[in-house]
Amino acid sequence: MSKARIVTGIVVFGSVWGLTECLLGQYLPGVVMTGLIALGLMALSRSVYEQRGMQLAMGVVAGVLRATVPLGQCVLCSVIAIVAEGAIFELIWWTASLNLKKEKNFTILISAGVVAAYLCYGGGYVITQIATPLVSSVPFKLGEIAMLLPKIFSRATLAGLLGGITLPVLAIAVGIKLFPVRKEAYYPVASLITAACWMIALFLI
Amino acid sequence: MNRKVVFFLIAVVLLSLGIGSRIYLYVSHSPNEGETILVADEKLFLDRLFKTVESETVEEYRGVPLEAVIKQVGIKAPGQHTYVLSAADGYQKTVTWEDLRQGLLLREKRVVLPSLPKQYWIKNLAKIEVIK
Repeated sequence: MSKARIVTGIVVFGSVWGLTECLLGQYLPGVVMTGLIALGLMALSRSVYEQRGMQLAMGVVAGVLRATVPLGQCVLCSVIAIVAEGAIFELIWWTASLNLKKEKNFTILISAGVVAAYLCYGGGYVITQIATPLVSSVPFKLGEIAMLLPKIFSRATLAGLLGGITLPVLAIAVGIKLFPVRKEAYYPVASLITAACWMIALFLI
Repeated sequence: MNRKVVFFLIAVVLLSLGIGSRIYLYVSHSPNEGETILVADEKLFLDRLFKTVESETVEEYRGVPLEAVIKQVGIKAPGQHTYVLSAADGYQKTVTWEDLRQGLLLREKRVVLPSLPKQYWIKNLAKIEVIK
């Protein structure tokens, strides 16, 4: 696949992810945003492009878009969490060598969904707690994060359970080619989606 | 070990950790602590606090100023200290006096700190410790 095609994919999926965070992030719980939306978009893009590093770059694009829209109580926390989720997903997929197109075993798909969503949510939460004080004026206390761990593990379980549903469903959708991409329509459609996402984001400012 | 088993085991371990944590949080939360908060080791009754201290509105929130709560227990030179806010489930955040004095304590025991990210807005506040 050409570099231009992959970069376009990063921008499209990243923009959609970022806009979804802006629009729904303040209404839906974080476990849903991670276990359903973020995991769904990252796993789908990975299965379509099969490109390592893409989801981290998508996280950066989504983070930049999210940073431009001052909706919600803590934009910085949201940006850090998005980029962290992209990095953690990348690490998991790279370590596990997963491919939704080829993977037919549902035990693996469900387990991988649980593990990916759990670690993305939990890891994103912990990284946000550490990084927010580092880049703002609030004090950082390691003990506070330790005290928070039971709550993070508890919530991450819900994200994991959602991920355990998202990934197999996505694998079925990819298998029956529910997301067809016609070659000649790729760049026009991608440009349209990206432009729409950023226009809506700018409108929200 | 085969890939399927590895994935399955990791998922089971993570979910067990989460369920265990949920049980721990449930067991460690005492509903009897409902209507009081500890401020510098002094027990404040919320009903009394909200009757004696005039409520204020910050943004869309209405509650008693945290500055008044701290002064109520007689902390001298409050600007010289930092403050650890703890929720009933153990969630803790440390804040400076400058940030705390702009905040509110709502009747439902929620802390609103407009100058800080929302992760500092403790819900179900149990105590405020004063650190020199």
